[in-house]
Amino acid sequence: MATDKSKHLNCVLDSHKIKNEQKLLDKHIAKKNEIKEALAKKHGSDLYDPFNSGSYAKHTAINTKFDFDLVAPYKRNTFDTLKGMYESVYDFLYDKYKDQATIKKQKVSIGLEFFADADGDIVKVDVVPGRELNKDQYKDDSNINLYVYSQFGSIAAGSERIKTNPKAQIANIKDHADKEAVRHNIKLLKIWKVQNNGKPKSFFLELITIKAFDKKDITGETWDKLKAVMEYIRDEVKNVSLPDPGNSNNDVADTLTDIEKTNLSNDMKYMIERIEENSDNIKLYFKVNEKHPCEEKKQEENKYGVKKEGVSAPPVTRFG
Amino acid sequence: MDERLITIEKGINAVENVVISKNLEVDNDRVIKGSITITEKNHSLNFDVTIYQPYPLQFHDVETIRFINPELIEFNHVNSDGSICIHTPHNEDLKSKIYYDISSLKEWMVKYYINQEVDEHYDHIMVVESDLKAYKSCYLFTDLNYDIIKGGFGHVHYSVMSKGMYMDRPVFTYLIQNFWLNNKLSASCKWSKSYSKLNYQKGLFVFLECPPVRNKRFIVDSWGDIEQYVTQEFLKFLNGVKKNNNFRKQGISELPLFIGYKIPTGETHWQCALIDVTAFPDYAEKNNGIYMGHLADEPINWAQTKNVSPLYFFGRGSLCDAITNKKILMIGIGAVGSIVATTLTRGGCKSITLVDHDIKEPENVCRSEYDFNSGLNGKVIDMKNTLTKISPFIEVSTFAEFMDAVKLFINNGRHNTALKKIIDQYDLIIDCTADNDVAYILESLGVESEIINLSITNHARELVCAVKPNLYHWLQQIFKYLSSENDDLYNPTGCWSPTFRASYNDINFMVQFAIKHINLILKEGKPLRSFYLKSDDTNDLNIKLHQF
Repeated sequence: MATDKSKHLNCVLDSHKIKNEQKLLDKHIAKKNEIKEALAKKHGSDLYDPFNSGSYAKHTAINTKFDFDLVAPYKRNTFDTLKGMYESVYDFLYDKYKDQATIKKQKVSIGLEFFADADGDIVKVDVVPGRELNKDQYKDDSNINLYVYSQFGSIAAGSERIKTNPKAQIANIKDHADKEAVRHNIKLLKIWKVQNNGKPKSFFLELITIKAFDKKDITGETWDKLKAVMEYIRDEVKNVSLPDPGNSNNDVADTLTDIEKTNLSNDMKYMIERIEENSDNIKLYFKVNEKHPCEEKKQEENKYGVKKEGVSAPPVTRFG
Repeated sequence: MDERLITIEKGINAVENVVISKNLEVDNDRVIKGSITITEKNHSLNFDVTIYQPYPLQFHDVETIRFINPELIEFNHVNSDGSICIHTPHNEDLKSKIYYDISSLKEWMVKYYINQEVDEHYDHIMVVESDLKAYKSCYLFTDLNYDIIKGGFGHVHYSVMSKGMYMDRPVFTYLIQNFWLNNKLSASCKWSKSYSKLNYQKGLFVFLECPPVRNKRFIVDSWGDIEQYVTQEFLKFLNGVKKNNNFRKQGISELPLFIGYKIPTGETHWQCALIDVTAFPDYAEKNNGIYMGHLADEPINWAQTKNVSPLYFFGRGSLCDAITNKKILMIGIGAVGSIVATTLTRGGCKSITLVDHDIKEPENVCRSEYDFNSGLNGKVIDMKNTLTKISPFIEVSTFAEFMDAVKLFINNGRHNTALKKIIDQYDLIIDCTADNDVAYILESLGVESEIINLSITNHARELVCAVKPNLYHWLQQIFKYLSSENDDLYNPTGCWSPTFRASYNDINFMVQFAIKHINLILKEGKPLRSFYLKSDDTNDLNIKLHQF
């Protein structure tokens, strides 16, 4: 029997709702607040108010992969150099959490992955240290410089800083994501990415989805809209420009190489072809989070928790 | 006058600046002989022309027209008898063919005689092998693990690989193995272990500064001509071998002397002169009270040698490096797996480990790469033999019960890390078991190696190739949608598990398409996606690729 594509996608979205993982979310919020307080205590008035800039803040979070990005904006004179800022925050977090978490230097952040708790839950928080560009200027425009950890020096050679404005980034995505269709499409592409080891950063998918909605008249059922966004990516990803709302000089499109853009275009091409060819194929690309099946999926299970389709399906007929 | 002769004369005369300088005549064997003169850019050359009966057709891939001038022997593309080496396309029309052949000869004259052009590719020096012997010998060599110093000499180990027949003469094929300098192993040919460990015999070698040639491109034909290339130390060594006389004691009548030198590509090349152990070519003469070694002016009996290093062995076509350089674990070598294994081996792969607990039986032969004459045999043993027979460069390991062991231990979590570590030693796992357990296990272990899972449906209608990520889930889903014709399985008489219906041709067609697609994708550095092929023969035969 053919699959109702939009119905399936709605089911996928339901199963990936962040509220399904409220307990884990609360643990993230608690840990984020703990780190925030620790940093505030350490640096006092040298630190503006740290804030969350991750997908949760942008309303685009899914429950199978979420972490918190905590931006820590420092005043201009707190550290002599950006490197000094990055190293100092790293040393502080390392000393404080080395017995509770794995702490890694990442491109612009310090990643903390806390060891699994009694429930087996793992909390991940990325702390992003930044420094205002000039004395007191942050209060006016929220711009900060981030330090680029050299091991990840994919920025222009010699550069070790990125100017950005996380608040503007959040506002931009959040404003668009408040439109349900945009939010749903961003989430679906993130679900696809997580389930299929996709290459693009979430920020890339967020911006290109917003751009697709800006450029095209996207209407219809969930599948119709997703298909329209995928067609846009398929056709335009090689040429599209995605200015960073936090710094228009940064083109987020440049985070993918030409080959990666071609591969992404092909991902969309084959996905559309296969799903249009056979609606059942949509389940290959967008899987329901079995941990939180939507109502319809629950009905497919019998009282022993065995999937009905698993019992009634004919034996798989493949040979070698 | 002979109509054929008239046509040929007309064809020759039609070419500008070419004249018949000695009338063409037909002899008793219907062979046409005469001479022509070509004049180009103030140069004139005379060629004796011989035209054999099959002309304008070729005979044994050789042209049946010959243009000979022995004085041109030092020029490129001239054979040892002075015949010019030209090849023109097939043409059944006598008039056209003679016109093209004469034109081609003119082109040779301008390019190689007047302009003295040098070809980019290196032509080996020409060796005329003895055809008087009752048998033919060919010595194969490949790249060495170490260079041999110029002037070096010593013993060689070589092995008999096979005895064949060609034109009613036995043909012995030998493999050159190791080179020993002062009784110390100096260099070895890089054959796979199976070939390196063959029993050996001893020969001799000497490494020269340059190839021993006359007329630039022809190997010398007398031992005396070799003397200028070798040292007195070598001649002393040769004399010592003669006096030792071990070879005669061992019943060996002929001793190969391998003469090595570097060619412009930087590769080492070997020629082989056969020494009659009853008549060594060396002798000594006293000169000013000192004995000096010499080589007699006796003809050399040259044997054929061939460089079969991977560059040439796979030179005519191979799979891409992204496949051939991988350490491969092949799980399941039934119909699909055995075809994959032989294709990879012929394609240049160097390392394959075979896993399959099953036994090969006569019924398997008709649609796989197994032979009947090895009878009942473990599949991994049989396939190892097959792959080793194909390529002297593939290392094949076998581990028949590997997946059985994995299945025994998989539910004991303590061993999962060790299992993963073993599997991750391989760069690429090719799973042709069609066993969902295997797909599940590899996925649940979180194996980092690339995985290619290949299986087919009944009648080989579809071939399915699953790769990471989500390999197991994808397989489970996709087979729900593909055609299943389980009611038409093959059920032989007796107690037997039914199996799918498909011929070698049905299966191989799909497998080769799949391998070609995979090779293309990896060659271009693209990510390999899961895909399935669907063949359709409802009207004309069609095959469609569905990539995911």
